[in-house]
Amino acid sequence: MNTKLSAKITRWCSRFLAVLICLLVFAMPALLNWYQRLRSLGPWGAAAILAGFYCCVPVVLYALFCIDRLIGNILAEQVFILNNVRFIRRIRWCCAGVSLICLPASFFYPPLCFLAVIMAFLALVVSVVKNVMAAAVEIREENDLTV
Amino acid sequence: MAIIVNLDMMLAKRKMTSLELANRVGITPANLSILKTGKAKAVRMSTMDAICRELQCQPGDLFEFVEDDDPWKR
Repeated sequence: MNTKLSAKITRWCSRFLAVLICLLVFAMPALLNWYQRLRSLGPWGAAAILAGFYCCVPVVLYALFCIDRLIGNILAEQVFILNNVRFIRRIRWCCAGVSLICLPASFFYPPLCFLAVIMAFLALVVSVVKNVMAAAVEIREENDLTV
Repeated sequence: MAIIVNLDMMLAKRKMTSLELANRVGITPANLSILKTGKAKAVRMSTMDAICRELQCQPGDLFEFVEDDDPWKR
């Protein structure tokens, strides 16, 4: 099992996604205009999607930054450390943040409520991962002090 | 509750240095220092077995239990 290769791929994927999101910041209005010509989004749909997207961009970029740092630590063979627990906790809050942003936007464009629910579920999963990691850090610290 | 490690005393009795004991037991000097200074959270039976064999002593000679509310015993 090549964990280093997997971690490197994850890191490059997160960086690629960050670049893609930065490009979307400029391309989003044009993309929405094109989509509206194919299918009507309702009177407030485009505005809700646009507002929701731009509110989510800094949150998502921060989550991707935390993922990059987390993978960097794993590649440096520092896996079970408190910093990584902090990064995972921040990623959880980012997922919850996106869910909270999508919730009011869904009043204007209802399909966004599915995204809100998915992100809330993802925040829950990441929360469990954070708890597991925190327990692993405690076990490692105890193991380091076992003679 | 506190467990006091009397390793220094036993080393002095046997006229052995920490480094020498660490090498004989097969642990790093850093780990032995963790044990000596009372920072260890656990001791493996194999480690205790090796230490007692090298120092020719019993586990009770190395560890002493002291209640926290009895300052005179420390």
